[in-house]
Amino acid sequence: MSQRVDDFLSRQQSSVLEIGAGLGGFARVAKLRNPSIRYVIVDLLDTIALSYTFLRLNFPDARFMLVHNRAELAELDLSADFVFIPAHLVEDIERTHFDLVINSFSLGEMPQAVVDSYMDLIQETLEVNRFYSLNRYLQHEKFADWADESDQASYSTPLDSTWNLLSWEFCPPFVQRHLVSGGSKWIRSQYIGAGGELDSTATLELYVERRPYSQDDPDGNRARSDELLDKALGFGTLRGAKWHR
Amino acid sequence: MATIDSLERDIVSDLQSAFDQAPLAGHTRFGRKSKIWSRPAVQFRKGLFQGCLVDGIRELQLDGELAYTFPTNSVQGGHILEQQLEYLHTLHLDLQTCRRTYVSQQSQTLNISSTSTIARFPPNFYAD
Repeated sequence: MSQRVDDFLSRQQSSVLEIGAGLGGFARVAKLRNPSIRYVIVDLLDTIALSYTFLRLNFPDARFMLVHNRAELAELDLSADFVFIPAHLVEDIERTHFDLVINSFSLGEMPQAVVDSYMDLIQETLEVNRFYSLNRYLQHEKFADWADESDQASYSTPLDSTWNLLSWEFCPPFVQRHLVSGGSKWIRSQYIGAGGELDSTATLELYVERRPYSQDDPDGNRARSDELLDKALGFGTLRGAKWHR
Repeated sequence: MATIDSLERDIVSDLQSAFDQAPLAGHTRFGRKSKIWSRPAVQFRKGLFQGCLVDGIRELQLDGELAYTFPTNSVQGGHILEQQLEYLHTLHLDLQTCRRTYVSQQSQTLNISSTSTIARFPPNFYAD
């Protein structure tokens, strides 16, 4: 995954926001790749307990800031190597620049309303150059009867019209390898059918770049949208009915 | 460079302070707040800890006490409980004054008191 966004990870003083960092494994890789990187993690506090511990122990000489309350959030020290913001404080984040926002395998697991709030954060509150998403998308029909899955994202990461698409791919090979040979039984059960076949459309990798609003082109957007809709309608199989809003 | 001992103390203190100042319940536009039991334990199975913790386990904190939910049956849960406690020891979290609560899908509750010491592990424990 780090190779996918290496153009930005490798820049001096690059600022990265990761939403849902889990243990902090990607953050660790990013910091090792580029020691000058400044990394902000937004996550549930109980998960921050893990990433904060993990990263502090991995980088004992780095500067850390764990945001405890709104007052500290208002004085965010973005020069720190790692900043941790609990999710319950996110709605008070003010406009801040990030070179790159990353999310992998968590937006697709949140209720759509929460996903939309994060996308609003990325697209309206913050000033973001690039956004990388690797997520399950379009709630699969087989989850419909799962009580604990039915509130998960339906269409996942809605992008507004001012992004340029740099790349996209269904279930990239490195994800397929993980799904087939790694991960937990629970994860595998979501992606692999009864016959052992991998549902390669279950995951979508997106890498997009923000286009300045001044370059927004409503007519061009409409034409591109119509073109994409035609392609979408050409697919023989749709994963579900919730593919648009 | 900070010593491991001082680093441990600092991490635990900082995290404890963050938990102390966090709300105990409710939701925000950005997801549920931490430390709540507003959803059945089974729902945490899908949580962000997948791949980070022992499969299927969520860690929560209630009123200053750590609690762990296990969306498994009681037999599996007992086994996972041991793994989870061992894992948390390696994270240097202060478990000495914590009540551990085990909740199965059947709502069976098992309270375990502990005076475990905190184990250490090298910073590159997860290097691979």
